[in-house]
Amino acid sequence: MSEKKIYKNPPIVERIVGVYADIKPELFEAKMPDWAVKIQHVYPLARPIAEWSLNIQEVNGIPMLSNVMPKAEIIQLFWKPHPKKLAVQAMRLRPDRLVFHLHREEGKLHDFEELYVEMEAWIGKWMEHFEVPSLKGVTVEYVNRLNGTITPQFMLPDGRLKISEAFILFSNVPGKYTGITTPYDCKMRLIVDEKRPCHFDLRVRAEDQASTGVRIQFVVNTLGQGKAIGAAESLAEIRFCHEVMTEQFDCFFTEKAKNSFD
Amino acid sequence: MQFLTEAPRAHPPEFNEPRCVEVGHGFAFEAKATEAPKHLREFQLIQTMIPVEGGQHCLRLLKPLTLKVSQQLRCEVQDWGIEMDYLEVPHLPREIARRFLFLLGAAENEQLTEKDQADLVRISEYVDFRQFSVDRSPPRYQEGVMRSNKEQVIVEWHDGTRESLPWEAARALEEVNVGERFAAHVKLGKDDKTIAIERVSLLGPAADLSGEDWSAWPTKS
Repeated sequence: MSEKKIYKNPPIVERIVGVYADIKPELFEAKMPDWAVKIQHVYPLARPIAEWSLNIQEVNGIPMLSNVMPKAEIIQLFWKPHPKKLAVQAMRLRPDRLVFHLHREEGKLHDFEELYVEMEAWIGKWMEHFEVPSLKGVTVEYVNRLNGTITPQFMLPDGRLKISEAFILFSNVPGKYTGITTPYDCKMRLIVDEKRPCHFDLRVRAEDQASTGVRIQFVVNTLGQGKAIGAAESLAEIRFCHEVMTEQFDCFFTEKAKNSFD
Repeated sequence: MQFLTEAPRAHPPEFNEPRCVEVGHGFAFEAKATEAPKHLREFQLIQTMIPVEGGQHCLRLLKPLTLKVSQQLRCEVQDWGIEMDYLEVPHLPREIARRFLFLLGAAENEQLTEKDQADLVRISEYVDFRQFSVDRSPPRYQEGVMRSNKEQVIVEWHDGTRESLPWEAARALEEVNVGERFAAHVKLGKDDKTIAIERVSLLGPAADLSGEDWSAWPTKS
């Protein structure tokens, strides 16, 4: 691994760390209220969210809505209190995972270590409480935003984003063009290590609300079928994923961008 | 670098970042239909265990709940007489528990309205009533004799039945010697099997239980 480079002002708006397991949904739901009590002194603000899922299947290359009834799921989300009542640090639970979120604040960018410490503090308690014998892998996820607020250095006076100057994937598109516009929605998976396994997922898309912003997500995961690792090994994998993340971050942003983040 | 068309070894997780999608917007450009398909108005709730009394008990659903979403984004829980704004759906388990406890209380006090009565009949098809009653039943006073505490903990209850206790319950009898009588409050599960024991008292060496008159005592079953 190369030497870790720390930027003063990277465009990261959210860091996410997760560990994955198989917990029977009934057991998870039955034990959830006790877990809420257990974490109450650190994560007292319970704000569950609903997730609505549609089933889409591909028929002859065309995405079609399937006739299977769509699902609604309630995701357990607990926030740490914040002096300014901001939503910055959260724990999110589903039957198959424990996830920590850390959002950027104005004037405070936070870092990976804050998340790692949280996972380190809770992973053992979570495994014990939900009777998790082993884990299937981990993820480290970074959400970056390029827009007028986070990266004003790449904005034109008319509010458009010069993405080709910031992001490698769009810096050398073949052909003669005057610019890139929506839609751009790009996803890919790179194989980092087949044996472990370790994958790097990338997703780039226009912001949902603003046409002048771009959201770039990086995810490093070590999920594998039949994998069974313990808490200590998972923590080591989270560190490994973070190393991969910092390497990939360096690869995908242009030199000009990285200089501007420093 | 090789381009591999499939990656069967790793199940791709969805991104964990919660994403807010405006209702209807995502499909406005892609879907064409003369009317909204029915299966976009009905959703199945994945959750089948509803915590009650702060999670001390759970309401086990025998079949999933169906949420009907109206064009005004009101959400109706089919058969349960519950309607709420779709933004309130994260709090649905609490509303389900409230509705059930209300109907149960009204039924016990014979105060059900006709509508409530009809709702309760429909709801009874969703709820494992027997398990819920077992979970909610208070422990009851019982006396017994410790017969074995080696590999298995076996007790003989006051009505003469012998029972091999599960470890979770048996640990409460740690201080009871073999051959000693004890009294305790015992929580029974399905099939009258002991699932928890508390408030144990030692009553001294076992007398011949068969000589005592137990006729006034309730039997376990």
